[in-house]
Amino acid sequence: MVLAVSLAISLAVAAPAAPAEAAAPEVATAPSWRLPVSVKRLSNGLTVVVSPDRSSPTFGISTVYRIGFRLEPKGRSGFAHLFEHMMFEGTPRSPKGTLMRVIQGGGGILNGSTSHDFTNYVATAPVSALDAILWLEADRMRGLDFSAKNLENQRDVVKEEIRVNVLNRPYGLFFWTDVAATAFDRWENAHDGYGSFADLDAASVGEVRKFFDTYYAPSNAVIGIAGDVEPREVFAKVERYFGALPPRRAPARPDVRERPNTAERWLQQEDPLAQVPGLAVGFKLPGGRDRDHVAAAVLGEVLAGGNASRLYLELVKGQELLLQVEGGANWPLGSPWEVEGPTLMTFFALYKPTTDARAVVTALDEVVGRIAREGVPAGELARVKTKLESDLYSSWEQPIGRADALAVAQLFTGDAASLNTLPARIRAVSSDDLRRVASTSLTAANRTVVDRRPAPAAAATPAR
Amino acid sequence: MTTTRLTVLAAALAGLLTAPSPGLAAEKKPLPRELPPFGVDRPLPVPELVRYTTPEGLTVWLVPRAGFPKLTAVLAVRGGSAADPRGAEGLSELLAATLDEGTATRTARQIAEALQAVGGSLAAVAGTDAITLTADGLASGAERVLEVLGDVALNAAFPPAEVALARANALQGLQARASTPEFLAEKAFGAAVYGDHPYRTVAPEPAVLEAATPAQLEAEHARRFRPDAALLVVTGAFDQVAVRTAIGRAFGGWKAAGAPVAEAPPSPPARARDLVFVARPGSVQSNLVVGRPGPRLTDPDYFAIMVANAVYGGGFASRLTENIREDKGYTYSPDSSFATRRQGGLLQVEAQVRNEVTAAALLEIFYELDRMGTADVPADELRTAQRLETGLYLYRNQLQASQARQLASLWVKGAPPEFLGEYVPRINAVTAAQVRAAGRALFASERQTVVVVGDESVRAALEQFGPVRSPGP
Repeated sequence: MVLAVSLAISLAVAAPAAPAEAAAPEVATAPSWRLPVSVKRLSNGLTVVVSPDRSSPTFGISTVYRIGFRLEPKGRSGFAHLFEHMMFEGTPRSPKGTLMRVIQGGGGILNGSTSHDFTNYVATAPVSALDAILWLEADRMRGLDFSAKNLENQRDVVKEEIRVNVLNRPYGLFFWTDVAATAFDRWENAHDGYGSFADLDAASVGEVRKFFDTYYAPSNAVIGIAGDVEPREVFAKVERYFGALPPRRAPARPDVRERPNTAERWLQQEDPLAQVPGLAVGFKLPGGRDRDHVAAAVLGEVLAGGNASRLYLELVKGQELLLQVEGGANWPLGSPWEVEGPTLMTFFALYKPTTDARAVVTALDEVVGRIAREGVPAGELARVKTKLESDLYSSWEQPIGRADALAVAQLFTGDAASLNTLPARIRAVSSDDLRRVASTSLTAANRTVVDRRPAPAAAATPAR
Repeated sequence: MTTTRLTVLAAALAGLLTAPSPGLAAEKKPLPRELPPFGVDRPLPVPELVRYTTPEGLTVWLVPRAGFPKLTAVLAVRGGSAADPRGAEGLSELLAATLDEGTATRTARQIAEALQAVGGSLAAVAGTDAITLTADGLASGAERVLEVLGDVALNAAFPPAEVALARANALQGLQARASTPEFLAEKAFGAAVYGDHPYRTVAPEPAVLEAATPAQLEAEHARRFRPDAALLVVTGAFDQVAVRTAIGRAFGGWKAAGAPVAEAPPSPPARARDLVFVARPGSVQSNLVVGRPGPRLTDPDYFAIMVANAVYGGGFASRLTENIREDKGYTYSPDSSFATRRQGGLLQVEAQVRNEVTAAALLEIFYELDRMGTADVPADELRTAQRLETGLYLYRNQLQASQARQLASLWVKGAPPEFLGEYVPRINAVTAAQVRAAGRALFASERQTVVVVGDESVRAALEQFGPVRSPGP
């Protein structure tokens, strides 16, 4: 029931520069962690991916639909996310509340989230609840309780979510919404995925029904299941519960491609809730299908992946310009592996009142420029790639995360097993690859800057 | 050295076996007839806990796990913010933040790079009763993870330049945090609930940070980091012999000096209803926090309280969520929790609501609180809450880091590791009468402290619940 944004304005406390690179620590190599993968496609077009793991008698499930902010109808910003909420409001067969009572009563937990290219519905429970949960997922893939009362109720809930995360909070996710709105040219990529209150208010029950008919077709969905299950048995169950759903044609997909920008874009903002100035810098990336996307992910990690990253060591510590910095490829809406279409390499920093945004951007440019010219030394590159691979495994640690990663990989590439090639693709990234990405995508012309400064104290109305 | 069978997972079975009974939602609509019943649960592998004490006096708990190729090491030391010297309340936050900024032989950068090279990282957190260091990495880098963790624990050096920058950034960070409604609410709530008790501290005052020196941090480090007041937990896919050797090397020669950290006083009793309003001009939402102190983790009533909390506000199917989110649409994500600290627990209900329904939401929060003590929870609702609580427990234990932190937390609060294995059966043994008794004892609205952070315009409507005051100094 959330947008896939989870980040804290955690103020990393930092200290001055460390001496130049000391004796290189030995880099660990792990044997790649391979996930078993079995895939089946039903005659109605629904695809199922299963990955057995006998270590605990639980399972995770993720039902992923190919509909996100990017694909929602024009003039209905926020609809994909509002609809995600509607998926929890009951169906003609299982009234509102049934889903939560059954899943939680089965010892499980559930959630949903919306991002650029997909919406997912996840649950995890002891394997004894597998049949019940599959039935409930099939039930809501068949149809919902499209009532005005439910729509009204969830519209209110979504507005509260927007107030919590955007309107009532310093910085209000500007490093996502305002950077995207400024950087991208197509409405599909640029508009606010939370939606405007006007668009949310304009949504009708008829539109909710039409949205469902269009995007929630079996052929527009992939189910991932990981845990203490046998693929053959899961395939039979899925056939039993989902097989009778009538096939519908998967919707046409709009052209969402973007060209790199040709001149820097700069947006100046005031934030009545913020006490410390912040800035976000976004560089357009072609997206998850691009051959340089893995290299872009590595570059994001080199620049902003924790306390050994360059921006932290050079700008938070060395030059003491920033209080904190975070970011990377596809940040903050997910990991680099959770996006298909165009995205951004975004860095968000709080900077010291003693400097200004232009100076910070210049300093960032120097850090990036050095990589574009010289690449990254072998020791540093090996460390960063090891960390990225290790973080990838962490995202697969729980069956629910594994199920989701497999379903998303299947949705994007048609081949869930390709997820197992990701560790090797990370290891294969070279210093030259990083130079190429830095010099083609992280350029001044392709840069969008949003500088957000505290408003004078008298102002009382939150921005936007 | 002793070996304990952790029956966590095996015991969880009992709670998760049954099918959804037709009357699960007796007071609501029946469940769909076609809904398949829950199947029979399968037996669970039982993880093993290896316990021993090093020659230096450090308590070690090892939990080897298969599969996921990483490990997590958590070192907890007694003495968190409640142990901060008078006049330096909240200093622990700076102490935790500067621990990994250099040791006798490693710079901050070398620490970060050494862990990055094994796919890991290090984080230090100051709680009320302990400081916790968590290091992780690929299992193939187990030795490195422990070596760096030990170095930081034993030899943190607090280089003056690093401390100066950390202090400056912490001051700015404090300023940035000060504008969030959550921080304002937390601060006012801590002060109102705890009065003079050291648990009141949510963050250091700027003056504390300004006065902090490397020498002060060194002294606090020496006072708290000592083997006889520390626990090391390691979970993950590691080789036991190699890890024990690495621990011996990393923590060898660690010595205690001076007097250990003194116990904090018991957490204070609840007060009569207290309404505190914190003005936040222009706020488009009100942050509501309602709560009071409660018993310790080791109190026999603890399990009934956890079940009562799950009925009241745990999860999407709880009374609070059904009422103020699903029925009325007042809020996005209401929540209630019962957290425990070494000297006592804390019931805390939170919701962020739009301005015009602030009083209406508070009325519903009170109504649901009072209902907990006035009527028995129906059998099916009780089972749902128990299954939710035990299921969450199972879910958390899937994560090696979470299991390590839970074990460390038990130690900090004075509970044995076996508590983990007892959790599920004891949750399942809770009766409706016990839930109601816990409801009367802890949930009654007349004994709650209420903090509202919001626009001045919402204050007047709160007066109907009693006198409304501004936060104290």
